[in-house]
Amino acid sequence: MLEATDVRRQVTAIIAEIKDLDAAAVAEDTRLFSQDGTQASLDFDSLDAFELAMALEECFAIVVTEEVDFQAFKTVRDVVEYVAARQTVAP
Amino acid sequence: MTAPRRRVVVTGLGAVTPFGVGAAALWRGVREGRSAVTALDRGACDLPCRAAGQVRDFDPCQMLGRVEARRLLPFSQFALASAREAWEHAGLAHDAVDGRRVATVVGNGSGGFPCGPALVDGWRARGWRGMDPLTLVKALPDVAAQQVSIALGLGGPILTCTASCASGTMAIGQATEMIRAGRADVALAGGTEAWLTPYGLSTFAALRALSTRDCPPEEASCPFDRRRDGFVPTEGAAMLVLEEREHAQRRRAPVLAEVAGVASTSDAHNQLAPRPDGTAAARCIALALEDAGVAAAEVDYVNAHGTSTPLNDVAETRALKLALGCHASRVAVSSVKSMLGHALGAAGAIESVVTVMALRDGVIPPTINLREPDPACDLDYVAEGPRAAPLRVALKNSFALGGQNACLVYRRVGG
Repeated sequence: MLEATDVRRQVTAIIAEIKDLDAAAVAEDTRLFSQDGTQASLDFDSLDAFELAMALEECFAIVVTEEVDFQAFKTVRDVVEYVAARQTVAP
Repeated sequence: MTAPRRRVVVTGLGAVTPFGVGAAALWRGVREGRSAVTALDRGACDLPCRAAGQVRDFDPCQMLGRVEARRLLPFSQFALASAREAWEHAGLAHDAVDGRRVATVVGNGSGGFPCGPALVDGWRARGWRGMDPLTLVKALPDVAAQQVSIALGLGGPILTCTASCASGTMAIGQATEMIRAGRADVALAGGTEAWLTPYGLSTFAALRALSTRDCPPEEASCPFDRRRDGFVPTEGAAMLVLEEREHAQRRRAPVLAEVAGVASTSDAHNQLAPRPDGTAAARCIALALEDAGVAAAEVDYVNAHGTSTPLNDVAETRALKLALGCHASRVAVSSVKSMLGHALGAAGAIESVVTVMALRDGVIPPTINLREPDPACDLDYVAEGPRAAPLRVALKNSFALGGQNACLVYRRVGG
């Protein structure tokens, strides 16, 4: 079981890798998907969401069920909380 | 009274080949008569072939950025890099052009199937849930065209031509027809192929199509030589910017050549062997010349399909004799595959770039490694080395598996 800070650090690193950004540019309250351009976001698209699911499965040895709709995840924090709630085995 | 036909010219070139990144590296290598074939080093354990044309200095992260490098298979990476080069070469990165009037036509033979085992691993282990979710959108052959269109904002007609070894030539022909018909003013057209994986090579090795001759790798591809025993596998891509002539003139684009004639025929004969008498290929040549309004005697150079397979080189020689008559014995014929090997769906596009440059510079690239001519191949194959010659009209042949024939006629523009 990873510490919460480790989960946050690794999720942030995964998201930064997907978008080819510096990890420092990915904060917990950063939005993933842009919504009518009103707020700054990482401008995720469905390909990014697929890659995120795949990377989370590999990194945290969890199964991201197909019911999960990443589009419903507003911020990086939502992803961290999703992983923390399911993650049982240390990578 | 009908309006005069819209004419199509070439205004930009791009390539990724074993000679390096860029159309200039390709032309430099070919016009010097060098070989880009080296010892096969793609972890291909038990394969009977030893030589290949391998793209070595292409860094996808540097060329395309990390995200595209990760998401695209090499065939799409090569296409995208060469498309961007051609687009910039044509000056279209700066000139305002209506993207809705630009067509994307990419030839590709095998798509992602040479990467099959890597794509299938997750599925074997865990079924559909174990798959890379992007498997399909990496592996479809039309991904290359999709990526070119998305990256450059090309909103006109989009088409992927799959005709194995003639795919690239077909794509250029189809794009030319689109511009002639007024469905686009500009087109990015070419071909791409990346199949030098152990699995991809094995599919051709199993067909006994590859050269297995025991010789230095750079000598393995020897079109029209009686020692030839199969083709040498190569990867790469080339893209051309085609443009309606007046559109190019209006924006003062440098015009490299004209695509004057287009034709395709089918042998309707056999899946693996060309029609031995060359009649369907000859008909394709004749139709391309007729489309260009060019007489056989006006052809100055033939950029041959010239695969270095026992069957093609004889059948192609026959086809040239049938189509060109007595002019066949006078015209210069050469095979770029003697230097590069055979890049399947990219070959016709790579060789089109070479043909355009040959017309522009007045240099005929040679057929290297032709030391023991096959008595059944008795034309002038430019075996002695690169030849300077004033060139006005060049024919580009591609004759693919299944008897799919495609020919283009390129014409020099201006003095």
